[in-house]
Amino acid sequence: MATKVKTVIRPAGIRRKTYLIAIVEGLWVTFRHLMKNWIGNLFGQRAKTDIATLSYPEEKMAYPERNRGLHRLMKREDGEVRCVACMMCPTVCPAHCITIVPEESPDGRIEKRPRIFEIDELRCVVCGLCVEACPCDAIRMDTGVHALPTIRRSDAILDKEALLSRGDKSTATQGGVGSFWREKVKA
Amino acid sequence: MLDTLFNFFEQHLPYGSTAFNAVGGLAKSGFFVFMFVMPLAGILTWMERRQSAMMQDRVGPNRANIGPLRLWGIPHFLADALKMIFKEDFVPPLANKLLFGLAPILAVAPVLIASAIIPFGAPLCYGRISEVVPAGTCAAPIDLQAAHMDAGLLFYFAIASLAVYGTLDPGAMVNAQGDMPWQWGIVGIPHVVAFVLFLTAAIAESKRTPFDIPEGESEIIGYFVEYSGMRFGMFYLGEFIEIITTSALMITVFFGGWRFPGAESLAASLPNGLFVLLSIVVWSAKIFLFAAFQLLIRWSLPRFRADQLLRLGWQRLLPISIANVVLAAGWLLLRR
Repeated sequence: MATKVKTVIRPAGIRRKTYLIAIVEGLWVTFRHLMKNWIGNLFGQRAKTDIATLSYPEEKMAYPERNRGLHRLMKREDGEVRCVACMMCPTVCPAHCITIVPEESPDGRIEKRPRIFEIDELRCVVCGLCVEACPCDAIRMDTGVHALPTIRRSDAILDKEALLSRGDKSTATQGGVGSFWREKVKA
Repeated sequence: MLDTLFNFFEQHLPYGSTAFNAVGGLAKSGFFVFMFVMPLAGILTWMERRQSAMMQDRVGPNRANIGPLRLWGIPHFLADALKMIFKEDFVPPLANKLLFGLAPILAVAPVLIASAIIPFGAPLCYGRISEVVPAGTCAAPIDLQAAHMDAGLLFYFAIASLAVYGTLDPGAMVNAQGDMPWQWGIVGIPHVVAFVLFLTAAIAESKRTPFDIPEGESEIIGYFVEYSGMRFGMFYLGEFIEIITTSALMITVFFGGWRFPGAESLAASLPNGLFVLLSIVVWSAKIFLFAAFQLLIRWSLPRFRADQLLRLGWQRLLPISIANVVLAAGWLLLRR
């Protein structure tokens, strides 16, 4: 195999050869950035500078709307848990991190409700399949909060109360609008 | 109270005696090293990180604090020193223990010794610190310079063009310059050339980017790999002390030392002690600006290759400095 010879063309002319002007130009660029950022930072105007860093625990970047964060359980109009213990989410969960023990609901219109609803956040792979599987908008992952660091592993298992504490009333109508929803939405 | 102190000094340490010179020398070098060079070198370690961050649109270290005292993160240098002291001091088993231990000392000590020749303030008038001392009336001046040496500046060839001063004693050099910026050593064609050469040589000497070939921290595995803890810290600190020393030399030779516009009239109206303090502050501010400039260069330019550095040093800087000596000689002849 013949060796390829690549001829490097050196810059010509005293201006290019000494690099002195290029050095001064380069120093001017970095000096401009230094001054803008330093003065802006000194007077608490960081937003006007070029600094991209966030001071993390104090400043946080807003997550995108569809970010999957910590789970939460939604509530009905009367404040009770929306979950009907249908077992869709523990069935679909690839990490087997959801434990539901159902019990009979005292409300006659609702068949079941969860007596125990636990999510092991250490096992959770944050895939969001439980949210997709839920037929009644009971479980969501839209809190925008990470799984919290804990000292003991058991602290990472969130029970029903912890999941409900982040919960909110669902915007969905209780019981849905039925099979004639197209007509109802039009009206 | 101050007067009793001065009386005590005058009684037991008469001006010009051996004891006076010894105590004065110790006090001056002690002040210079421990009150100025060491703290400034420490702060420079923080400043380098903070300044480079700002140049690169980052924030830099700003968290270290002593209680509520955060000071933009300046305590970082204390935290760094603490960390280095408590780190494991590892000595490679096959290393020569003597040479291994000697190297970090050799990185710091010569720079500190070299800094002894630098005049860091206006002359102090012994025994008349609280009075206004008109120019030329002081019988017992103390030069704020740890050592007078005529050979003190034989560091670089570029310096030889400074024959315009007729001396190599830095103290006399500062005295030869005036208060106003256009009376400083930088004014004149051979002077500017000498300054650029000296600046280049100074940065190369402190072996920092763009001349950090021996270290090359990210690519070649430099000699720092073997050092840990405070031994590494001494190399690191030595670099910053070199920045301070070279900055101080450049200020002494080219930028009027402690002199500033209006110094002469202030000297005639302020108490001597206060004026000397002011001159030290001005001198420190100049050093600070020069150190910041050296940091700016370090974080702007890419590293030279070894052959590029050799070509720059031997084929460019050396001939230019020799030519500059000739030019300076001609300049002197014309001015006579």
